[in-house]
Amino acid sequence: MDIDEQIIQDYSNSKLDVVQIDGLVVLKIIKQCKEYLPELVPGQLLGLDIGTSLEVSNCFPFPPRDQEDENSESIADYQLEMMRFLREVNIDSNTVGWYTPTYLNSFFNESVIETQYNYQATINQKCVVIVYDPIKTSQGTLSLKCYRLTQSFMELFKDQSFSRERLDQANLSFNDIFEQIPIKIHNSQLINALLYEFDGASNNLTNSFDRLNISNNIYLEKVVEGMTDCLESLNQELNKVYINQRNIQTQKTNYIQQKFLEGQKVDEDELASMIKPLNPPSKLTSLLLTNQINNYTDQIHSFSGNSLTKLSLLKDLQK
Amino acid sequence: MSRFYRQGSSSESSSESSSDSDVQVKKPTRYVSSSEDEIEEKRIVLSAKDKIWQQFDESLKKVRNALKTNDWVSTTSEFDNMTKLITNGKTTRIIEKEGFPPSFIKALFIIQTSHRDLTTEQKKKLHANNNKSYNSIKQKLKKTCDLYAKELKPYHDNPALVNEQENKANSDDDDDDLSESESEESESSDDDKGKGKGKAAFGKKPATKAVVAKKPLTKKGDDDSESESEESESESEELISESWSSDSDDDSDSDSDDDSGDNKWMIKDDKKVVAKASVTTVRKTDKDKLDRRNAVVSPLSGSGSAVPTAGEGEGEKLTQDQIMKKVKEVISNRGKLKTDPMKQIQQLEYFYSLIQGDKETFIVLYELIAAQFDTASVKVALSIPVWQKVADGIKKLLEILETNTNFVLVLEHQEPTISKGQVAVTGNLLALFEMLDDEFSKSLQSINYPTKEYLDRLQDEQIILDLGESLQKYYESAGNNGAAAKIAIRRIEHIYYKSSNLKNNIIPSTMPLSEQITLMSKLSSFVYKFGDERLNARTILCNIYFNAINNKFHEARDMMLMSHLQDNPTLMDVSTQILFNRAMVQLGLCAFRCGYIQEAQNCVVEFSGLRKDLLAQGLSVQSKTAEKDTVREVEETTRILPAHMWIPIDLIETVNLISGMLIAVPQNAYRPFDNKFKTCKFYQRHMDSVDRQIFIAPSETSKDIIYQASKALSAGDWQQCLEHVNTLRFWSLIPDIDSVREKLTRIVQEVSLKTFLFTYSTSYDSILLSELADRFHLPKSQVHSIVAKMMNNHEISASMEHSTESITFRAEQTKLQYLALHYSESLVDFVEQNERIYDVKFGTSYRKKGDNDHLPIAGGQHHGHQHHGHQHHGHHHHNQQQQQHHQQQQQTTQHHHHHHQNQNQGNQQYQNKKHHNSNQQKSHKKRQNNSLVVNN
Repeated sequence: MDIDEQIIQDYSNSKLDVVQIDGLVVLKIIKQCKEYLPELVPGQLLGLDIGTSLEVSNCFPFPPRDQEDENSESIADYQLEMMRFLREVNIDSNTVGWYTPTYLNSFFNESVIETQYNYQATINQKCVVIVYDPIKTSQGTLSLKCYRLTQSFMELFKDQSFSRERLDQANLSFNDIFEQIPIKIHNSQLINALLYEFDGASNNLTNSFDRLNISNNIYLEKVVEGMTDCLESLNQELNKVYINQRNIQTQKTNYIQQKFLEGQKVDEDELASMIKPLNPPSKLTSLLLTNQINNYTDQIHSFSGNSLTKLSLLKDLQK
Repeated sequence: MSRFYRQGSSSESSSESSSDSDVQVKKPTRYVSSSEDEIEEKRIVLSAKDKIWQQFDESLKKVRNALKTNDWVSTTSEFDNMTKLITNGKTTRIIEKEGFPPSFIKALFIIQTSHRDLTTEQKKKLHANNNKSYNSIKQKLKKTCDLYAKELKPYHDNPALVNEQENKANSDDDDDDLSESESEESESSDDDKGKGKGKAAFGKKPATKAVVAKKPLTKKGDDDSESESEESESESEELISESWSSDSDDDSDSDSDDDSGDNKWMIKDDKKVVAKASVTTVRKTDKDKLDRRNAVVSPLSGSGSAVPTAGEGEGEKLTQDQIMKKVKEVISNRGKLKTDPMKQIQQLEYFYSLIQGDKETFIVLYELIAAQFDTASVKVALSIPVWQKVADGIKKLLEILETNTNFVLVLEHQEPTISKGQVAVTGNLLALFEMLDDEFSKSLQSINYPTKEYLDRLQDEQIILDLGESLQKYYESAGNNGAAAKIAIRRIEHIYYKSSNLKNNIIPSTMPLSEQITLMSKLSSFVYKFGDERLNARTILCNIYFNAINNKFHEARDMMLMSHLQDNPTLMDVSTQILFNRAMVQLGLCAFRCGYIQEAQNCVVEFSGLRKDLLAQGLSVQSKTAEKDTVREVEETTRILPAHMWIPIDLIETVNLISGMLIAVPQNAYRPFDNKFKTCKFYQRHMDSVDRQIFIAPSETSKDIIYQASKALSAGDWQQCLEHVNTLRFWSLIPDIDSVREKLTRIVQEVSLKTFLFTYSTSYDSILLSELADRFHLPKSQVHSIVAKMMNNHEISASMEHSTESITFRAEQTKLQYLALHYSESLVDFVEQNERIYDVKFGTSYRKKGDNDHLPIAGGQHHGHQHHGHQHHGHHHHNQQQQQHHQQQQQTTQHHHHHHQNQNQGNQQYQNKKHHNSNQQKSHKKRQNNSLVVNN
């Protein structure tokens, strides 16, 4: 098959099965995050998309935002500049997405979605966001997740209309905003060979006692705290809905009363037309919050599973 | 009332006068001038010198006018005129004798400066013709100025000289043309007018000189005439005022009125002159009379020497009423644009030196003081010598009033109610005193603190106090208690902040404390009795402040509470608000010194940071982006208190932070994860900002030190904490250090004990009371009381073992448990919120059917129980909730049949619920988890 055709076909095909990341990129992300802590500095992913997979072969961080008023233009400039330099030294300079560090996977907010939307809409629909959690990683498990906005959500977001009706039409639940894409870490043969040698040379390197840490309170506290915050925000959203509903209801009753006084029969169609929607609150926020809470609960789920195992292990050891 | 208006141009008159006669008498002629239809009289007596001088004066006037409009053509011609004149043979002879005419030199100087100051822009605007003249004069100027460099020098050194004289001329002129508008005057090239001015200027100047020179002589003459003139004084006084009022009327009236006005004048002056003639010695009127009216009239009435010459002016003498008239004339110019206050003061001072009689002295002095106040502006205070003069003046006024008990002080627009034998004098001593006081603080504002100059200036405060005292006495005796109260409050405001107790005050109180207290209470009770609401409020505040700096916390606090001022401080005017703030801060500082930490915190909490404007000790901070509000800035600048009254900001801030620390540290230890308890905002903000820093710099500022102290305190190390606190600089500002330190040490120990118990109680099963007492150096009984109190308030869950004198701790809620509870509460809210939406959507009636089994509130109640309950209970409850949701789902589906359009909503909610259930499961699991951890 002609290679050009192949590229075009790949480009137009939105299916993405796996993201293959170089081990080097993973290490780079971790290093960069560590350097900028406690600030969370996102960065750009570079690589290629081949068929239904995406290969990430390089990355660079965005400049940390010193001032709050730093506009997005300078970041964009920096990005272009950086890409030019990389191209000059013959490194892959094809944007395939971006990464962002986050605590406790609390990244389901509108700005992330907007950025991701821009990536997917303007650059390549296969662009992904890789989310890295430095806290979880420090506890012994590498937390690296890859997400992409679903096709249906992209369409919704394009119109920026998140009324209840639209959401229902699209049959979109909070689970359908992002789709998670499996990550495969890939190393070059040389690295594999080196690792193989290490493996034989010493066992010290593979020690990971971090995992046996049983002081899980702090993590749980954080998650519950985050969850509470989300819930409270969700409550506020609900309140907005409530107020909106009440307004509509008042309109309705007013109308009906008026008709009643006039001795006329209430006409359903007219009633529907009479009611002004009064800018129903956007469902997007509550959708995202729900998604976030879902994420938290997932985390607790997996965490408590591990903890339970550890604790029962400990119990047996103490006997 | 122009009596010197002349017809014809200057050249005409000069040719006439310079014909040959030294003295020229012109008969009064009546004619109707074409331009103004005014009837004028003319009578000129001039010497040759004066003649020429006058010409120069006129030229000067013209030059001035021309220059105002940048009319270089006429300037040049006038300039040529003058140079011609000065090189004229006759003139040179006179000049040899008399020196150069000052007007000429002045004119030269003016031309020169304006020529130099003409900007290029203005130059461009000039007409071609104009421009040419401008350039030609340049050459001539250079030559001429070189010639007269010596004469010009004094003007160069002091350019004000020119204007000074001019103002004088103008002020006279204004008299003549009251109705003339400014603009008309400035642009008028009207010959008549110009001459009038020139003449006036001319006449005026030498007169003053002559009079000054002959001062002793006149004085003597006055002495002679005093007794008699006084009798006629009141009469002539009335006449004068009457005629003056008619004067001003006339000016604006038409010609016919003018005529009659003139006539009136003559008659009255006649009378006056007759009266004077009968009483006093023969009066020789100078050719440039101080009072031109007299000169005009004298020939008609036939009295006085008809033809005085310049040389004979020396015998001149002024009578009282003449002076009074002159004074009025000067006063009427007050506040006018062209009037120079300095000049007025000079004039008035001069009159004051001449004047006799108490009433007249009072009037002149009063006006003099008023004029002296005119030299100050909003931003610039009176200069110190002037201020002192004013103070002396007021004192003298007061003396006059005191010696003449029949004098009654009346306000300006007040109808005097005078009984027999009393004399009304107009004036407002209270206002003068208040202005004097204001100027005093204004001048203090402008002096740097603390310099020698400042201290010297501060000594003058005694003058105000003394003056205030005597003035108050006067007003009291005069029965004007309202005014006396106003003075009393001024006095209080000079006393209340002083205390020998305060170290920051570099000026120790001049009087002993007991005396100060009695004085304060005396003045205050006076104000309470007679003052209005505002004065009362201020007095109370001053008293609060006073009590506070004298460590009488309870008195001060009670006053504050009783006065109810804090109910609505925004209703007060700004300066009272500032006083309120000051009192509040001082109360806080006092509370701190007395060891009432919570009170101290409450009082000072709002006054830290950059809010210096609240205490009028600096300007408010404006954000860089906001536009500069100059009006506000000026207002705030004028409000700023003199520096010696300031309360040190550092002190306030440190007290705020320390009290914040002592309150917040145990609170944070008690509930580290609950923001509700974080009450000390300022302290908390500071701590948070330091906490956010990645590296904490070694402590330098007092803020840093307090941060360190807080850390030590929260770790239960009270000794370390005290060490930090003791290194703070603010101690030098606190009087009676030792007792304050002692109190603070005790408080730190107690707070530290509390913090320790909060923080570490979980690590102990039980602890001996004696050990706690040892650790915190507290008596056992006190430890016992503190612990008992804490237990009583459920702050720690522990119990006292009396047999062993120990405390046994029970397990406390962990943070995770707390959060989980909090979360579950949020969930309940969430559910309730959902219910409400249902209610709105479908009406309450639908749900009621199903609610018989499961009231939604029941769930909430259950949650409440759960706080104390076991895990199993929670489980049970959880199931219940699930059931409830299930029920509701069913309801939803029921509704769908009725309202098709609502189905989607139902779905949405269902999803929410489902997920919410899963949350419940998770949190429940987590709780189980937690219990496992505890068990292990």
